[in-house]
Amino acid sequence: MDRDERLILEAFNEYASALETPDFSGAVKKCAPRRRPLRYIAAIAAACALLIIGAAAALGGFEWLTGTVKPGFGDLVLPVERSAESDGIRMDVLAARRYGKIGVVYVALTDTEGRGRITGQSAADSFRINRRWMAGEEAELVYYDSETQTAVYEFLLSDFGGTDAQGGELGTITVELRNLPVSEVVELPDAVIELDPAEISAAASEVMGEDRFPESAEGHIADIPGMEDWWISSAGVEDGRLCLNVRQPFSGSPYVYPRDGRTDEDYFINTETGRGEHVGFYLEAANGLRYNAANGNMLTLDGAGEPVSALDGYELRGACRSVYITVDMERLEGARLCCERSYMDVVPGPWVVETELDDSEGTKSLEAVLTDGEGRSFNAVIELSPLGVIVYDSGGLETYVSLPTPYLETADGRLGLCHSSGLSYYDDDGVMHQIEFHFASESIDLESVTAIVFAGQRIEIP
Amino acid sequence: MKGFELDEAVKQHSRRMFAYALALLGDYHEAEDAVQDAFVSAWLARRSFDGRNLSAWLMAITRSKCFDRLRRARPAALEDIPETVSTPGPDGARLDFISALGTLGAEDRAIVLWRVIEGLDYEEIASRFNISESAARKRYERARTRLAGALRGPGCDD
Repeated sequence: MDRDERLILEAFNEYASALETPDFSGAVKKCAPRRRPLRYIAAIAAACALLIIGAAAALGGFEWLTGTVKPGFGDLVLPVERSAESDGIRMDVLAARRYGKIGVVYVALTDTEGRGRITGQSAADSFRINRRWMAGEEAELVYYDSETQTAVYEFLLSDFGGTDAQGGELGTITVELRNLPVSEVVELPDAVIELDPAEISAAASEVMGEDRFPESAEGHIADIPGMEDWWISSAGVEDGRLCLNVRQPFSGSPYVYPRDGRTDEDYFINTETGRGEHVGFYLEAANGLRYNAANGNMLTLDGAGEPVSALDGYELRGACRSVYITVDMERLEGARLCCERSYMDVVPGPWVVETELDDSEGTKSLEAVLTDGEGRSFNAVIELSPLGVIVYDSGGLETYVSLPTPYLETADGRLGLCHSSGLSYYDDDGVMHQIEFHFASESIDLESVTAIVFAGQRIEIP
Repeated sequence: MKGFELDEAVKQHSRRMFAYALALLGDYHEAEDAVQDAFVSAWLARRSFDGRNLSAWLMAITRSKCFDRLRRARPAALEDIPETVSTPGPDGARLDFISALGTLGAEDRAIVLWRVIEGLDYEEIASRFNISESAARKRYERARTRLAGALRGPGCDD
């Protein structure tokens, strides 16, 4: 972190600490979920249904998706029914549909051996779609049945106009699941580290270098019980946070476990067990509250404990990483530092299915001049499809225009749009463009749509 | 303890999440809604939370919610933040930061905050804005320098 960044971070921290924060304690009560209800099937009902259907092949097929699961766009999708299977886990790309730059795909996971490895939402963040198609924040779990060990996920697809170099053709989709996370197993809970947090705070030693990496990997101020090859090398206070520098063994490559769209290098393959392991640190305050540590930067070390870069081809033997605990310093009195070791039990993949997505007809397109709250004009192309609405500029922009989320007027009333996303980008000629996607929650009957409304600006659909 | 406890998350993380959202969006009510949405999403997705690094998880969700709002909301007008948002600290820290942020456009503000506060890498920023990594780096460096200059104040080159 350079001087400018440090200045900005300090200014932000000061500003945050001075800010009067609204009360969010009623967050869940006040804000109704936008997601469609998950279609669970009760165990008994599922068993009966299975008896009626009578064949495992029916489970996870296109007819089963549209007839039993009935997802929001179930009446639109076309069968794909391509699958990949490994270690008793089958991934089925059941159905999909594309209308130009917008699409939807339904993917099922089934534990064919009934070993309880499909836990529902846990896999949703672990899928990858080829980069040309951006699949929003995550796949949405739309069906889960613990009895049959089957989950179905919905991906809303938006093509933001990336180039071929960014991953594949528009008419092709690749669904990939690298590893299937099953559960986290805590092996070593609540190991207490013999360090007094209040004393660390009082000493307030600098343990981070200018670029926010541990200043040194040297030192050994406390053991970590139950973990012979791990210890605390130094500790201090940085940016008002308690900081521990942790020495640990390191072998192999960082274990890639996608979470929230990021690569989590916090898990490492243990070469002895073959598992991705994690050691988490936390502070337990005197009143029992727990403050989990966040990871900072990590130095990789050679056999002599000297910092080296993996990129330079050194054989890595160890690591020193910083962990931060954000806690009011007044809470350190009587607190204790702890850690726990766990591992993510995964079924190794990958499962990969590639399929074509033909462009469907049945969309409507029109042009209109929209204005934002600042009075700026936006020459828009508006494309309506049964999946939702795409809005993009017709010839380049000088600046980004913040457009409101539209809704549709239909013969039956107002139809809201959700799952909005969008961005601005520069084309190869340096011209700025903007594109926005607004998905419906269920299929739209375009014949019934009479107008699209942007914050009071009503545009009739011919 | 593993898992997501909403009450505890609100107590521990709402201040930083709200500050982050307000800095990104520049609108008190939009920020409030974004954080509220973030808590709702976190609650709905609580089974997918692995029990580690709750702060980073919540900040990532907050960022995502703010990003959605940046795409559809009225442009941030930092000078319009009502007085009821807060009273500045004794050193005027909030006003300094808010007014300095006002020197940046919404996207540049997002790039700087994502990078400095959340530590996103250039690849991630680039993919969000559909620009190259080198372009993301250049935009970030320009915006960072400008914001730092605004924080230091006029006539201060250092």
